[in-house]
Amino acid sequence: MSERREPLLSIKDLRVTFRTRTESVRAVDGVSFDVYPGETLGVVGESGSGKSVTMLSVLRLIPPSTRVVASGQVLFGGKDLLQASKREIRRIRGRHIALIPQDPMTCLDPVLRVGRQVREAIQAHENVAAAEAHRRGVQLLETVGIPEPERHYAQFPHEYSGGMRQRAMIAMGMANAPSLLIADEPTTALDVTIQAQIMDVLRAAQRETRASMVLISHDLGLIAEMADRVVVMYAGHVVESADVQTIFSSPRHPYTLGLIGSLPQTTGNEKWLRPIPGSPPDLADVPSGCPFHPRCFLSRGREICRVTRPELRSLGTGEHRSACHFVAELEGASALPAGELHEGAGR
Amino acid sequence: MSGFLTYLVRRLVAAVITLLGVILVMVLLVRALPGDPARIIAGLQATPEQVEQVRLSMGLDQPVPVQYWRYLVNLAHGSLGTSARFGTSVLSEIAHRLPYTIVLAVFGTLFGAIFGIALGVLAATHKGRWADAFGSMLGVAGISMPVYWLGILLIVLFSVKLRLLPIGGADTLSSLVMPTITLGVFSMAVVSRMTRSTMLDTLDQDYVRTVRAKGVAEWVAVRHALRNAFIPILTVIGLQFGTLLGGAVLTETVFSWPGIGQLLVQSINNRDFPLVQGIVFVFAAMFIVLNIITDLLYSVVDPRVRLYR
Repeated sequence: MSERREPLLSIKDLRVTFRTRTESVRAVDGVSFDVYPGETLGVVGESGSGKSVTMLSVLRLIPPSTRVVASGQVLFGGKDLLQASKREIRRIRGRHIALIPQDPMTCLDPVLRVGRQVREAIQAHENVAAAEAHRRGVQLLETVGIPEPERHYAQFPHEYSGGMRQRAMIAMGMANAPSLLIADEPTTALDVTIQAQIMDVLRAAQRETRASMVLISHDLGLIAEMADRVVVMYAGHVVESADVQTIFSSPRHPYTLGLIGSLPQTTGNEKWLRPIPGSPPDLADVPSGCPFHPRCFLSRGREICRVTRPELRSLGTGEHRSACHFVAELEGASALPAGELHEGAGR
Repeated sequence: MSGFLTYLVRRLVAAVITLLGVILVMVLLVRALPGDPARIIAGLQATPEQVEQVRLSMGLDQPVPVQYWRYLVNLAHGSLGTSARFGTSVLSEIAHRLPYTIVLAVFGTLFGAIFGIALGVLAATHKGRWADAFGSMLGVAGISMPVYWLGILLIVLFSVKLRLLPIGGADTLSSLVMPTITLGVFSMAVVSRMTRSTMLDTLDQDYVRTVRAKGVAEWVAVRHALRNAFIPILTVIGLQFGTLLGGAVLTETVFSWPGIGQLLVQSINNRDFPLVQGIVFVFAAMFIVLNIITDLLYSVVDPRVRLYR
């Protein structure tokens, strides 16, 4: 559906390398994908897969104390954000692209009242009088469902619960009606009971501002519920991308299969979780060839997996892309039930 | 509010106990000084009878516990005794000199705090670059330079060569410049190092990233980081102020600043026990009060700090 449209954000061959004194870690290695107006793009992967780093690089928010080298292009509104001046990137942050971070417990300034921090988001881009900013700040808190917004406006973050803090973060994110929201694991740090509420607030915020959203998560359930399209990342690479139905009904990458297969089944009479064998690679020492081959049930020691890194290729059907040498062998595979796909896993 | 009062009373009781200890140590130490105080005060020409007379009048013939007790009784009556040298009340001697020392310590602290924080912020925001290197160079220099040496250097430069500032005394406002620098450089160094290391930590915090993500100017993010770095910085400044009262001893001597530090050195040389004890007592009391004030300020700087419940 999105083929003809102009992308809002276009990431092209992004590479991000962290340099330490002794080694160099490539956290993002040649990532490309587009975000279209109004859609929700899910970015999935284990921790260390480079999903957060990719999106933080879009806003150039990698901590300034780390030595980081980024190459490639991040096109937004016809401008390459990686080349933009500090002034230009400041105008984009919060105004056009807003970040809703992972951990609301550490993302609010502990020594300032929440209202002041919301007001700061408004006044960063608009010359608004204090009284007007205050009025709008209270209104924002009300919009995201904070009770007694006037009272909570004057409180400090430590007087808020985790869910309320994340609501406040969302309020700040939508303050300037940005065209893109980047939500980085927005519910991971919260209680399960709060997660659904926060996602509702996020969805409402998106509807209100008609923004696109990039939802970074390792929670496939959340992605299935929220996303229109999905990008799966592994060890700094995009390994598969497709619309959300296709990803779940006919995944075409062994890693995606493994991710879906490792979900606990609520319907069947499974006794065990089915984890992907092995663990995510050390980014300072990514396996040669296909980075997933040591954990892959499909590779079975075949040489090409060890030697050649597979390209992300279109599978001919719409937007579906996969980076696997033996994608043909997955023809007809369906993720559920997942059990049979794992050699030697499970019983 | 009653919680606050309870807290304050508890702190003050603890302060009194500390002061009792200070007085005990002080009485013992002063008596460990070499030389016979009665002889020194009576003068070399004095007859043995006159010396004995002085000893009796000063209560030096009594055992130390008795002297300690008498001191406490006097203190309870609001008296720090009589200066053996000047024959005047110790309290009035101190009251006369103390304002000079406080002025100097306040200016020294302000100098140290303002320049120390500025340097520390500059170093942290330019980590690994020349401003950082310059800052740590100044820091090392400030910590390792002896006060009297720096004081003499300043005198040579500004008074002898350039003839801009008076050598010493406390006659004009310009007399304050060199003592302030001399006294403040050390705390500037300490404050700047603490500011740098704490800022490096806070600048990397998630909430500062949140601030940057809003699209504000970088200095706004730095301001957030600084505000969060303030507790450790405040601690250092508070402690430094106390140290500066003591540091005033050397600085005041170099610049003939008529403060309490200079008086202390003189009265040690004169073996003027009551005066020495009085001054040390006042120093200790001020130090303790400063600590309480610093703790109170924590709760102003950081809303999460609860001093009492």
